[in-house]
Amino acid sequence: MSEFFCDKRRITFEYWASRGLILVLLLITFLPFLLMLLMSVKESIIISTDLWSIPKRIVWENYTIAFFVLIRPICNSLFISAVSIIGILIFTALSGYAFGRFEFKGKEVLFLMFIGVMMVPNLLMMVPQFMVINKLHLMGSYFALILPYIAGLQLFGVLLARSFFSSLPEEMFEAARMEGAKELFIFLRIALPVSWPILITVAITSLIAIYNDYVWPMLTLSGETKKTFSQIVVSLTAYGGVDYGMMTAGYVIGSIPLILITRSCLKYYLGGLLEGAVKG
Amino acid sequence: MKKKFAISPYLFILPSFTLIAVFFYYPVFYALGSSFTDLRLGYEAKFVGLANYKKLLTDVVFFKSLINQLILTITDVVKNLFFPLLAAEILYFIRNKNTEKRMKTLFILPMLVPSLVIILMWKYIYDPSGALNSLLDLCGLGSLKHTWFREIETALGAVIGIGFPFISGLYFLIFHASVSAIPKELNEAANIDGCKSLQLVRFVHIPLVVPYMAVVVILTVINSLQNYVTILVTTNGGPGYATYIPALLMFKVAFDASDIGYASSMGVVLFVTIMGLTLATMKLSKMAKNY
Amino acid sequence: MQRTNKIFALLLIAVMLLTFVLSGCESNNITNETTVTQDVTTVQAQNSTETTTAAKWNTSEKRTIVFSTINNYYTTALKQIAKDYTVLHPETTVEIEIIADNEAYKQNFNTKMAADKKTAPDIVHVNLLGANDAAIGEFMSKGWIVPMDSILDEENPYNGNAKVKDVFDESWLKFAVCSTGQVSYLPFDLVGVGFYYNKDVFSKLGLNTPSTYEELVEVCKKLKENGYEAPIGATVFADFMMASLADWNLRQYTDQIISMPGDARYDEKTMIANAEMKYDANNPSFDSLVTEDPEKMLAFTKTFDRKSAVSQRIWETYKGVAQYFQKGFTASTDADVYSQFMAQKYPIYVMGSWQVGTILGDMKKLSDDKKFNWGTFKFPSLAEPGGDFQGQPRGILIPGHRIGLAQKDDPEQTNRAADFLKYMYSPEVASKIYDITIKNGEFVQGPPLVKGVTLSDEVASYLDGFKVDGNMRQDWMNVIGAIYNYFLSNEQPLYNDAKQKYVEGKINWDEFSTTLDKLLQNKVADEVKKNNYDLDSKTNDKK
Repeated sequence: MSEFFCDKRRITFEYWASRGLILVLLLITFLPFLLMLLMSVKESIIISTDLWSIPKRIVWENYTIAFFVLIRPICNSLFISAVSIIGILIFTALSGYAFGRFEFKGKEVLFLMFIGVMMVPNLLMMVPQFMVINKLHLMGSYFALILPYIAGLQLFGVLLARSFFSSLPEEMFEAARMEGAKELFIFLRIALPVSWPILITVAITSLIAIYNDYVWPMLTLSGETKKTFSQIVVSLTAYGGVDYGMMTAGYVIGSIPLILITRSCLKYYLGGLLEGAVKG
Repeated sequence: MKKKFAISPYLFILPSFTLIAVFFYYPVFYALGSSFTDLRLGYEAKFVGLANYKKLLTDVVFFKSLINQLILTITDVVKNLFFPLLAAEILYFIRNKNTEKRMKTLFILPMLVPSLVIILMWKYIYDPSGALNSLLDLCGLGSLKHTWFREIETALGAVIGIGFPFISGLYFLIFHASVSAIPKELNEAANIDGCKSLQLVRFVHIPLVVPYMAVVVILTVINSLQNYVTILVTTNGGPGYATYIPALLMFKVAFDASDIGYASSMGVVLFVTIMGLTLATMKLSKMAKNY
Repeated sequence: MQRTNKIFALLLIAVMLLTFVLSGCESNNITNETTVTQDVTTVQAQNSTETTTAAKWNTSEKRTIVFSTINNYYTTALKQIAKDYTVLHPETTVEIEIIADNEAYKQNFNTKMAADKKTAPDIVHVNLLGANDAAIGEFMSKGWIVPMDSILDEENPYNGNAKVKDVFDESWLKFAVCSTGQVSYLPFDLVGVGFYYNKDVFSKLGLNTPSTYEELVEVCKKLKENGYEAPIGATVFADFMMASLADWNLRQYTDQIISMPGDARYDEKTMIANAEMKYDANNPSFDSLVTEDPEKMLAFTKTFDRKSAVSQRIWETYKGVAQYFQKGFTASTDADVYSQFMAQKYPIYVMGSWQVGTILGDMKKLSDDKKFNWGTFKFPSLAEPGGDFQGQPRGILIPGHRIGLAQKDDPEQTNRAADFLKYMYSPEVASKIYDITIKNGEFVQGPPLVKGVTLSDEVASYLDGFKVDGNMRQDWMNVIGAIYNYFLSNEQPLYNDAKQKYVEGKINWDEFSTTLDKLLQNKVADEVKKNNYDLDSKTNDKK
């Protein structure tokens, strides 16, 4: 791979220049996060007046205060995500399998109807969706979030799942089909178990989207105890006094769940994303 | 597969479709319809024909938002093509495979942090007493300080700068994978022909990476046109209306002014634009692929 | 890798179960806690209040009332007294809901009242819902806010059964009357706007605190010459300078904007003061008892000549000072400006009286080399007012926290909320709120309006800089378009943009006044349409 720095004389300059450049880029990429960590252990007023100083005293209170402020919202967000993801995975698997392996009338049209929705700007439908939620008397409850999340995030999932399922070899199913097994059985016992890499990808993508979603919860949820992480974390910088130390401690705490979960499934998540991007 | 009529496929996709019908198709038609009325939250709606659309044509803020959107989308495409590819290429030339792997992992790490947190952190970096200004002070470039998000001249630029150096993320992965996938033989052949590494990149790598570039461009354009949360959280469209984008304007008109009719008409126009741009980009990339 | 996967999966499930438990059992937990303490401490209290409250709500049913407030204003103290209240009344849980910012506050209330009132908060900051009496009056007539008149006449069981209204000065209650003639809120404290300044910088440069606009401009020039890029840190509060000037001139026309005998909305019972009012240039409270008429105010706003000499003078005086604001001030937030003042980058800054508490707290945390002496001074006057400006200018010292009740169609909910308000507005509890807030370095708005609350000397001395000669009629500022929040929400960016350019000299007075007038006319037209006015006060046009 690297056997071909053609001109020997130039190795040194190019080599060091590119090495240097990449290190600088790496440093700059990490700077905001290092800064976040630094700020999270300082007093707010000291952050405002003397940003880069090493704190004289590590202000752990920032973390304790932030923890209590954020623990409920984070749990709320995770709960909403968990329920939504279960729904998303079910719907994705069902529809992805159907589009990937069955032949039926109107298949192309129906699939286009799925994908077409992705083109419509989310914002256009926000108000009518708001009205729908209202009519269904779901305002203020978690389902005001969960149902639209399932409806929206399943689209991307179906896209990925379809190409995955259609790439499965037919032999896997022949045996079961010859024995006259029901379709649902085939789906549950044969297709589903092998599809978990793709399902993980969909799950993590959905988790990231739901965890970060700020506008929709703001419009539909009420009550301090129900607020999601995204709402609370933005309000940390709000009107009136801003405690920069507590704010950044909150950012750190809030990132932890997502980092943990994503990290454990990173291989599959990235793999699935790449496949999807390449094929799409 | 046997070709008899089975109801099972339809049953399989039924749940998905029900949700889509309720949460997408119904709202789309509702929105389309309300764009022709003067619907406001809490009041009765009256049919007004094309009045909303006519209003769009004379809306100064709307036009500014269109211009902003154009600038933002173009810079987004540049940001997502140039930097990740640059990083992927440099990584490619590193001799030590282990170092390369470690560097790749390091670049990907920030992807794990919630994007909302990253945006909020950048909001602080641009704060008058924040990181950017204090860095400028430290380097003796104090005269370059600005209140980045608050000044008309610098606000949009600051928004574009969020996320510098634009490497961490999906696009870096795509480029890294595509560059790594280039078959060795091609590289060796070029080497034998006596090239320099820069030429190698230009004439061998890039043409092979073009299909991936197309994917990146399409994804970037779609995302750029719909994402308003970044601006909402950082500048809220300000100062004045210097950083408005159509999506943000729509959001504000719908939920601040409660003017649903007008907001819907904006949404329809935005939708048509996205459709148009996406189709255009797809066609262009197909042409590029063939070339 | 497999094992870590399993561990994380288990963690996730554990978290899910935890949240299930938390969300399901929360209400149970609280009642468990309070029933234990109830026996010990509240038997006596319960006995005395139970007879009066039994009729107002069902004491055996547990309910929650939501007090919606904004970040950092007495927040810790409010949460504490909410807990204290539930100890007294275990059947009512008071939830303190914190909303991120003013815009979100209004959005929250509007969308929830329009959709399903049950999800809306019970106790609200009326001042955050509407910019003036007319806007609040709109809420009142829509039936979204409860009129407080009857509650004021009730007995307050937490204040030795004195009447609720006894803790207030009558003039402030009059101030709380909105355009429908009803009291729309209970005022908790006073808030003023003034200048904070860095005493050390001033004494180093030999500067005195200015008392006129001309002196202020001189001070700024000197500061700029000495390297301070932005002598004054400003936010929207600086615009109250214009409001003060507008009020100074326009208050002579007060008789044109109040209901008079012969007008359709004139009510003999409540508006006697209107007929009796007489303009007196030297009496700053000549108009304190009148009730404004929104339609007449709109008519006045519509016909006022924004290109007149007076209007131009007001704006140019403002511009003279505003050139020394930081760049991009129309979009600055309080937090931006505060941190720059504390970092000693802005030697002067304009802010409300609520900042006193925080500066006190934060100054203690700074290292010795970063501390500095500070003080406050009030809005300046004009050196040569001339005929247009008679008497003395007024400033702002108005009720800050204006707490009201949302109308929820369920009397029991309202009764519970009203009872909590009575608790909060007793001298003992109000004092406690101030104490806890100052101890925590959070915002105290300003001097308390609840009689019987006292502040420390230090805090009182800083608040002195906000004491003004009289309190301006804020609506005058809308006539000259001083502050952004009067305009239509999707035209506010246009306004801010024009204002910024005018101050920076990019557009001249002609262009600016034209834009200003256009935007104001749009707002007037919108208000007229919403209320079906015909701008003739002799007819009552309410739909």
